Amino acid sequence: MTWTEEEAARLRAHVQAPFEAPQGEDCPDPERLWAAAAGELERQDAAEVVEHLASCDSCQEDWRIGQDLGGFAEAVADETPSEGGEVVSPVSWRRIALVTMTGVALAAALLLAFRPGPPVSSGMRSPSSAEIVTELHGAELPRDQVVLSWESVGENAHYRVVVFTSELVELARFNDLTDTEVTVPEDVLAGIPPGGRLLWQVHALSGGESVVSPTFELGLTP
Amino acid sequence: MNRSPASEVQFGSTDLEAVMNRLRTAIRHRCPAWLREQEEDLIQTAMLRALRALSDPKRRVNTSYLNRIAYSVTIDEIRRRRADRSEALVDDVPDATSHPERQMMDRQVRAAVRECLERIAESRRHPVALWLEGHTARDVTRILGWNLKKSENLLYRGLADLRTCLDGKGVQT
Repeated sequence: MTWTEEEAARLRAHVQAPFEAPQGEDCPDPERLWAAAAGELERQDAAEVVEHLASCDSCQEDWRIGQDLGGFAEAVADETPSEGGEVVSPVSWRRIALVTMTGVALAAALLLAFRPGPPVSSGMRSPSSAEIVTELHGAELPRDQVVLSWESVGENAHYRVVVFTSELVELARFNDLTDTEVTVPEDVLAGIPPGGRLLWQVHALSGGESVVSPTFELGLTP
Repeated sequence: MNRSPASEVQFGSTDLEAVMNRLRTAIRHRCPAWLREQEEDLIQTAMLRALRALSDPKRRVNTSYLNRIAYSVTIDEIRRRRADRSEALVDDVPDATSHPERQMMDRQVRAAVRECLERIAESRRHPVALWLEGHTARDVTRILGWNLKKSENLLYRGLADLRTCLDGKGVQT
């Protein structure tokens, strides 16, 4: 009575096929959706959100936007529950529209007032067993030798690799890979200037578990 | 070479340009193509929220937090657009890139899954609903606050219920 990976993938493809969903009613606000996905809600609250999600096409679409490229997974890995758990009150669009012009002016003024500086601090997340890791993060390669590789997440795993420009324009997508490396054809990189950078991400499916890597960065040698 | 998968950056009040760039990237990534013309407005709205957060000394403003702001702002606008759609657009509008037969099948399967989900006991329905969105039992544990054994057990039973129900409706997966 179990589902094979192929059956599961086919069913999800039907359920998640894009269509123009009407806006649902009494939908949880996006902050609450995010908090639910990050595991920040109390059980009863989380159950209410998921109960709604089960029957609301528009919230399912919103949920997928959060999941896209590991968005929710990132939130879980990176946020500190005690502080990140504070949910910003939802602000109505009309109210935002009223203050946007003020905000733009304020932002511009502050941008002029402060010189941008380096990040206050940074730290590397330690990879867990479920994470996809690569030795290529931050590397520079000649454009005719861009071979993306990563460590296996398990036997019989299948991978999808997506390559983007630094502006997050998708350049190439490699589906259903069984190897842990893929060569990016030089013509795909034609629009990237010498010294330019690429972003890439690996999606893995192994033993019914799906894993999405962080976004890796790669430079092209000048 | 850096073996760690990614870095987490924390932003301070003097990092406004970096904050703006991060929000711009996050919104461009999440913004559907049909919302592109609103992109700059969304970035400015997100920047307002970020500025409020940056002025709060208790708030830890990092990449994830900015992603969260970008998500929230984008979804708010998507919902406003959905709500503003004319009646004629409220019904399903097929994806133009998909074959009509495929669209019909998607719609039928989606309807069947919806009906089956309604019949499944709530405790099983929730993990199955999350599974349909691509989540694993571990994700269910995190989202619903259950232990892993309970998540796996109820997910397994729920998926069996779903299969029985879909089989009964003649839905082939």
